[in-house]
Amino acid sequence: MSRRTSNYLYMGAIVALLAVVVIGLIPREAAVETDAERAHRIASGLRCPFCSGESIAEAPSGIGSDLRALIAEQVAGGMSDDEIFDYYVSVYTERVLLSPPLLGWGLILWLLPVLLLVAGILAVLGRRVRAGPLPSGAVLASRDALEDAREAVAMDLADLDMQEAAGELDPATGAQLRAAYEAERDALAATVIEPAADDGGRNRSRGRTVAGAVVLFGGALLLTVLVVVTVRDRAPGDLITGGIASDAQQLDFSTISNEELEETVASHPDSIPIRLMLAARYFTDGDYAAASEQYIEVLNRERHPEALANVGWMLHLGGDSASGLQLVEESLALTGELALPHWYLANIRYHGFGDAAGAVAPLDTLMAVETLPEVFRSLVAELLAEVEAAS
Amino acid sequence: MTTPPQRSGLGTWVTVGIGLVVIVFGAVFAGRFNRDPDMVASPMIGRPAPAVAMPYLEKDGELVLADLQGDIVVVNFWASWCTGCRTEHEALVTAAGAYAGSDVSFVGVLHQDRAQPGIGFLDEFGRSASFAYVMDEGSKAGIGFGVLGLPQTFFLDRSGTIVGQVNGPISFSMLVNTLDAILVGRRVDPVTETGDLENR
Repeated sequence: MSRRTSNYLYMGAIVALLAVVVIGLIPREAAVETDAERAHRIASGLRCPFCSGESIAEAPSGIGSDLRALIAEQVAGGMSDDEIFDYYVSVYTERVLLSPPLLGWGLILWLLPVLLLVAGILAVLGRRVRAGPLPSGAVLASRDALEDAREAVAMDLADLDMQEAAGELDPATGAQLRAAYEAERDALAATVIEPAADDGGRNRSRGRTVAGAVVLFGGALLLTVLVVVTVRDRAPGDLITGGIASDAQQLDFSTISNEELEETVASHPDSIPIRLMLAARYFTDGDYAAASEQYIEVLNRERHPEALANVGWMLHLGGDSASGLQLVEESLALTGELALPHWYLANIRYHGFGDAAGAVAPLDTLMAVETLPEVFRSLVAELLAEVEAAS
Repeated sequence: MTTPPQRSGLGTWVTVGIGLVVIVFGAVFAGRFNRDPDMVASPMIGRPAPAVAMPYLEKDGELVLADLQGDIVVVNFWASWCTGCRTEHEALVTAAGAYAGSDVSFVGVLHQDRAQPGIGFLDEFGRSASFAYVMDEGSKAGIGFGVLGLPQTFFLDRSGTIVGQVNGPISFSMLVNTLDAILVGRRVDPVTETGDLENR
């Protein structure tokens, strides 16, 4: 590959990298946000301070739910984005920000790959700039330099042919130049590089190129990682997603069998989401023994609201409504955002304790949920009519 | 075309210079790997206590910390599920009794828990009449104090400013030393770590 071609390749790679950065920094299409969307966006930009790296928007814990509620209150109260972010930074320090501002260490972090890229480009291209045409009779340090000089003379001779053909030179000057160029060409053809000097020069030159390429690659890699990390919360399907989908529901797990999930759970016993997925499958299939086993493993690690509610419901179905009620209430104390615990609460109060009046409030809560599936809504409405008549 | 090669060295020096800067940055970043980012000074020290109304756990009404200005206040965040809270409970109850009538108020904030288990905890481990036990509805007090887990204890001076913080179970001697220091106007250790903070 000629030097010119490789230079074009280097430049092409750099332009492509810059294009990635630019695309990554283009803001998503602006749209009119509802308060709920704005609260969700702000919560997505804040790290849950005591969860395992999740954003506040994703954190299933009770404090995550409380933080979401507070952000929604702050949004409804008219606080600006900056005011809300500043509030959480003032309480939890800048560690609460999932995208650190471009100040201090954040700025240095972004400058580092840029410096690496510049250093790499200089190291790779610097060699080309220094290796200019050499005169005949000069001490030639390396085979590369000799080849450069031979190439330059050949180009001069070609230029001369063209100028003579075009009649731009008088014959005397042409002959004089041709003699000089040919003498130089012959001298260069006879030049021999001493093996030691040649190897040293070539090794130094190659070493510099390799070092430059490594630095260039390191800078490009770091920059790419930074860009990907920066945009990782984009929705799946965007031009650059660069990370896992924030909503696991959008991934298709239907092709994974229960046995495969069991194996995954056995090899990753502390992964709560996988256990919950497996438990939910057993629960939906009516295999309460297997579901309970998984939910109890979850509860041994975390008082997860979904596990609490479903175990509570199974206890009620098994005849222990008192313990079931306690777990469902604990689930609702952690978060009121799941629909099923409200449904369980109403059913356990009504069917387990004959408390029709107590079942009204959780059913009312469900009816107020706009996104409730219609099938579920009609069940809730039916039970609500029944308990209202009974109370 | 016969210009001799000029090795000005400028490019080499620029490359070396940038390389050195990169190495220095790298070394500084590598040095920071040894620092636990959790061990940061609390941003709460020197700030006024958040103005949050907290309903009493076992009686009607609510408590606002601003109403306690003029007193030195110990604000302890606890929960029935927190094992560290059991460890420190006796020290807190004893200290509340010892400082009764000394312009020192004790507030126990039940954080991330329901009233019933909280009351059960007090029935089992004891309560002090000098302690105001309150609920942290919506975790607003915990968020306002920047609570990162339980147990956590904050000390407020007479103006209601947070002057000290203990992360983890607090001991009787730590309570007494800190309160005596605030009472006589001495500076207290802003942040003390005594153990891991628990989260549910």
